[in-house]
Amino acid sequence: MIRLLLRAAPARFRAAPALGALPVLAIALGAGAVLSVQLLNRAALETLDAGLEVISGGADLVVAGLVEEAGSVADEAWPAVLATPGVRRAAPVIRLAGLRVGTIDREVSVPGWGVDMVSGSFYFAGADEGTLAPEVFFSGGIVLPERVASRLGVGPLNPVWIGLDGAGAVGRRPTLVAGTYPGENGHASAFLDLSYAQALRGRPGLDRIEVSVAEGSDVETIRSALSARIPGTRIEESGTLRAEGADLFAAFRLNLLALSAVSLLVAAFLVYASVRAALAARRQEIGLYRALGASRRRVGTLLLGEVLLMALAGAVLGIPVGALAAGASLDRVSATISNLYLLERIEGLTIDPQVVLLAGLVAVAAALAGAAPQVLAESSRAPVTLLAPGRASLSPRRRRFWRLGPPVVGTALIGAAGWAALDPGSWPALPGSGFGAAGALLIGAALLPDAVIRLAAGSRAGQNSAVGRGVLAALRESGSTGPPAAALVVAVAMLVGVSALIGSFRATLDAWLGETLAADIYVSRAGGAGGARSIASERRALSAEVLAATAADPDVRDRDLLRALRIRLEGRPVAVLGVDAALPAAGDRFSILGDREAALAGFGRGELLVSEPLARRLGLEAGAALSLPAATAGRPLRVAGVYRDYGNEQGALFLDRTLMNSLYPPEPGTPAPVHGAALYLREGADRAAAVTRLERTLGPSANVVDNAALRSRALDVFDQTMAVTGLLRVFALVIAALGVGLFLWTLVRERAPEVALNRALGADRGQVAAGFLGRTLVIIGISLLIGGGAGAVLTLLLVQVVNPAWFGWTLTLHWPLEVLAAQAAAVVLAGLLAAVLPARLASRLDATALRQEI
Amino acid sequence: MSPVLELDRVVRRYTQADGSELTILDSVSLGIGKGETVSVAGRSGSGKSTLLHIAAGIEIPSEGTVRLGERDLAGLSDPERSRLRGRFVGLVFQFFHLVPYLTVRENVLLPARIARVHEVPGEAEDPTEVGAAADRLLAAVGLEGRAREPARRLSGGEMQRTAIARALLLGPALLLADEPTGNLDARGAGTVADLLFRLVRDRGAGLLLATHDPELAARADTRLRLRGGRLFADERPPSSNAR
Repeated sequence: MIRLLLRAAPARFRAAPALGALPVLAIALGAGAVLSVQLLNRAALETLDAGLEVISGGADLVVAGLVEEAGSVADEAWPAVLATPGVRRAAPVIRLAGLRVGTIDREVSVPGWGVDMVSGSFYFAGADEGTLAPEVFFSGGIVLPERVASRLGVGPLNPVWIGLDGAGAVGRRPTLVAGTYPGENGHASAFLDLSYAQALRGRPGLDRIEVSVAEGSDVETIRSALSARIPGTRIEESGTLRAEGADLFAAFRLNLLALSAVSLLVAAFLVYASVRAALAARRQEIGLYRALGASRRRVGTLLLGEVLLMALAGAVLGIPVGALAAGASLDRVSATISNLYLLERIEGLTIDPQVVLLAGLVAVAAALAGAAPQVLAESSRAPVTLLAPGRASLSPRRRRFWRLGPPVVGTALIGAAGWAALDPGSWPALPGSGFGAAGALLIGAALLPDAVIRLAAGSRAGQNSAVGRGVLAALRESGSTGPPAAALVVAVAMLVGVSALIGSFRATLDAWLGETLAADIYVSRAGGAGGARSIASERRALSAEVLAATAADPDVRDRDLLRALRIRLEGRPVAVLGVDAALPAAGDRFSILGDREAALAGFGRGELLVSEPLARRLGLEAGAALSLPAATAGRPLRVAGVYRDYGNEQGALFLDRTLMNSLYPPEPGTPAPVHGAALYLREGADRAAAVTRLERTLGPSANVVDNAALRSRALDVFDQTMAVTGLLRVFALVIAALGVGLFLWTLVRERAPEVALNRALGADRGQVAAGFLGRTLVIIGISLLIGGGAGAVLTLLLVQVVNPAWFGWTLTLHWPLEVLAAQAAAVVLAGLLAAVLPARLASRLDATALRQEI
Repeated sequence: MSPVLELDRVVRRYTQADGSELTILDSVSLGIGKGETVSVAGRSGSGKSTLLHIAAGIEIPSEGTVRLGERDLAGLSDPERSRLRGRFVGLVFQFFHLVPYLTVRENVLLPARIARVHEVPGEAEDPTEVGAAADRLLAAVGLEGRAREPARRLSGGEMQRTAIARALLLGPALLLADEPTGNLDARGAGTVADLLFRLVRDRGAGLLLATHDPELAARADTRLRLRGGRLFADERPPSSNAR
């Protein structure tokens, strides 16, 4: 029997190609959504790993600076580590953030490292001798991964230039390619000799030393010995950095994953629709098998087997779909992680077979879950019902449980989610509970359309128009209208929730920027992206000349100078920012949560102001004590207050710059660095003229932006950051629209005799098409009604539960009505477009189809 | 008496999968006047349903002329044929073809909804509101007590009675019935046949009836048989209708 069905499958496909192709396409889109998100997540992690991975091979411990500044481990620490008993090998490493390699006509950005080749077992060192020239490497040559070399079109001993982001053409240095290596397993960094890397970076010092312990030695003992021998550093086990890095991304990855899950949920509805369509066309065939003695289980198994084949085909097709989608959104995700997590951009995607397999399995599972209810229902019907003309296509009378169960469960789920949204404090603060509530809400909302349609089924209005009769048909046949409406409900709820969240976030950010960008003009070193990002990788201090020029400007009344460095608190990076607390306008830069006067007074006395995300993560509030590593271990500082900060989710704290300079003194003989200057102009001064004058005076070495430009730039960065959600929203909408189209198409097949009857009774083609339009309007209306409501609750959940819990941000609720209206229009348009083909197909039917039964 | 239906040398051919042509109706001519009843018998596949479809304007003949009242169907577009069929022809089918999710009354009213008609000619040719007309028809077919029930809950006989009421709602000049008792038991068939002939005669409509059932066929004024695509008088000399 299996063989018979398999042999008949191609003929079935030829008979109704769309019926076979559409579900495969739906599964492909679902698999593609999951795969693209997984690939992007992986690429983001690889980028993170590029900065955190242990690169020397076989290292047990890592010696790193307490302050995460470039060169924070002194050069002298290396011999000290080597001299520690039990240390077999110590590899000094520096990270060349923003390394660019180029030829005359091409250039690429590549993770770069400065290493001492003989002190570690670096993965490029295993390359064929023919492709590595050590003497060139020791003379400043660069080793490139083959992927990068081929993109540049260079090979060993070819000339290239190297330079760091922001250094401009002047900072480029010519060199030779010392070798290439395969760059497998995601290793795709470039390597320079340590001393040349330090010269390129323009400062001494190491970023870390990777330590291998001699055989038989106890790692913990050596760790203690290193701590004692090299003060001012932290000694971590080699896996710790990566684990912390992965943790850093958890919220971001979960967000993307949740969005892709929505696409998958919608795709499952689509599979349900297509299986329903396929089975509707084969009821008599199934009835025949049953009549000939096939058991329910056997028929069910066979049907699920067919769905499995369909799902596998969809999953295979989903691989290129996912890869293309991931490639298309790579820049957006790259911008997001650059902005949110202060990393460099993602260079490329690696298609990992494990990820492909995972996405395929998830899609197949979703397809089987979507198909199971319909397969179960069909295989459970009595053969006589399946064989009797005109009976099987009627909506079966459902038992009370199936009529009442879904709406009751749906209402309960929505109620629970609503409770979590409206009273976040009483909701159990379990990890992921916000996302759990959001998932429950979407499932609950998807269970409601059927019941709402049944409630409206008593309506008799509008039967005089073809559209009205279509509406009536949709309302009377909840079994047909419910599933596509449910798919669209999920998509609409997701669209509303995510859009309103982003709208709230943007409005909050805008208000916050207006409140806290108090100075008239901001000056930073050219090459950094400005603001938080310049704190991220390489600090770019303002030169003495720039500082002198800002002080000498005739319109500048006050200068608020900023020093920035990064430390780690409880395993995650935190920006430490020093400003002039005594400056009259210094307090204007903060939007304080709680008692503003007390917080600013404390800040003036040398206490800390901590950002909201940091306060949430560490459980800090005004009056708490906080020890800063390498600075106040024995003398914790008091927290004066908490300020709103939407700049980064990692956390930041402010303190007086003079205090900061005493806690983190600069290198002997050098002034404390200043990374930014906020300038306050005299009353009546022309701000635009001042910007122009400063730009002229400072030249290309500094960025000079006024208040408005900085605000607009920050909002641009925000928009760029959130753009990644756009693709996934489009995915969900497209899949839902496909679902609506497929359902209507199913109806055309199922209801061909009914259409024919209408034609026989005098309806013209336009009236038939209008009937399908009426059905579509019901689906769209129900989805906007329930999806809009669920979307509003989802917004509250995301704003009031998910965001504070995962990102530590308090957002002010804001409904972007224009965006929501545009999206509602998009939903209506997508639904109507989806209805065009089925309506056209239906209108082409003529009354001769009455040879079949309704 | 001018005919309500006139078929003149109608031919219907189908192209088969192998490219050869199959002639289902071969130069069929037929006329039905107002109040006249005609039955057409024939084996399965003899072309009875095709004949009815052509008479209703559902199918287009390969050759020949079809006139419904004064109108020649050949010159009409699809929407015009649809409109004419809706107002001029009533259809009754073997499998009833009721819309299962509509009530009995809504099924009867369906032709009026499609034709956007609010009034129909009453018994004294006075305009009658379609709802009232539907109620009267339901009473006439004995279903007034079940008017608000979904059609799917009816028995086969009740479904066919509903279909007859639906076919007569707009007062068609011609009723086409394709095996109207073919899916009913003997008792149900008798009831439906009585009803069909009584209502057709009461309303003065023409009736073209395709059936296997000799008893039903015998109730018609004229009995014809389709054989080899041609129309013959059945068990009596060809009548004037079978030209």
